[in-house]
Amino acid sequence: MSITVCEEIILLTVNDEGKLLRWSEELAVRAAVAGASLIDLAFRGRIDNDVKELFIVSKEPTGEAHLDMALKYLSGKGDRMPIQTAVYDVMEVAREVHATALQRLVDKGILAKKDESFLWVLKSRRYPPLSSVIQQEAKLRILSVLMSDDIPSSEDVALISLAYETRILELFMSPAEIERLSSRIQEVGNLELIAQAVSAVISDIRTASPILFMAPL
Amino acid sequence: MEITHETIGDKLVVRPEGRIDSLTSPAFEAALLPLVDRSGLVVIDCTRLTYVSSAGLRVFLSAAKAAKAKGGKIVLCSLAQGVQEVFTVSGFSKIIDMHPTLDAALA
Repeated sequence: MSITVCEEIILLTVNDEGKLLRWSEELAVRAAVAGASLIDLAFRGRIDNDVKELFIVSKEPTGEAHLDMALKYLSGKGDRMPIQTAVYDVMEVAREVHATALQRLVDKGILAKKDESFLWVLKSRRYPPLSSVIQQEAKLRILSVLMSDDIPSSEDVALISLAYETRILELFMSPAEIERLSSRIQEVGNLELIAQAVSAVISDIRTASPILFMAPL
Repeated sequence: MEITHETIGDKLVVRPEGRIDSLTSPAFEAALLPLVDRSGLVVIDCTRLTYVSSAGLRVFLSAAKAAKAKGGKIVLCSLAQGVQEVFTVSGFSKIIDMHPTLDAALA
């Protein structure tokens, strides 16, 4: 079963009980979703970029609802723009992209969706994994790349760079491990220019509003 | 874009010409990967390469990965300044050897 980088990065933010990173406190997730969407669109030939600019190559829908949402929104902003601008733009619809991608994971049978009443008033929604295989496989791929000197695939580069910059790596790697592998993480992460732009955006956000970047729960 | 190749000694020299971007990268990949598959050491002479986008970088990454998996490698040479910048900014220069000239790459 194939899933997009965007779906995969969201899957990494779901814990065993199906709880997600708290959206309202996590601009990091929004940045990760935006970056992942852009990278997915690049893989599908809808956008391309060089060191300075990102450009729309084709507005033809991909057939994947969450990516098409991002593509349509971005296309409305112009045909060429600095990469960071594109990241900020897609972040404006990242909540909707996230929700659509999450539903796709439910539709694909990877996650369940459970609404729970609480004191007859409050409700919570969880997305417990129906099988941990895909999530575990993503984590193992990341660890395998980071602990070797193998040349990674473009998909693994995207996942690692986004997971690191948005601190999603901390959900399954210890700070000591991340520190020990930091030069390898940097080496791999830099291979994707869109992820570099996500890194710059996150850095800007952290500088402006450090309290908004709490550690993932 | 056009791609030519020749064998010099035990090395296969591949010469792409023009742009490698989202439009041309599929053709570049389709031409390059079989050459990498058949040769242990591939030198990509970038003298006539005028532009590389991220789509092009991904092809180089795939080729480098494929070569390494077979115990070989790809090296680049003669990159123009603008093309060199893309490889440097993206850190590709740390995973793919680059040389200023073809002679240096063949040495």
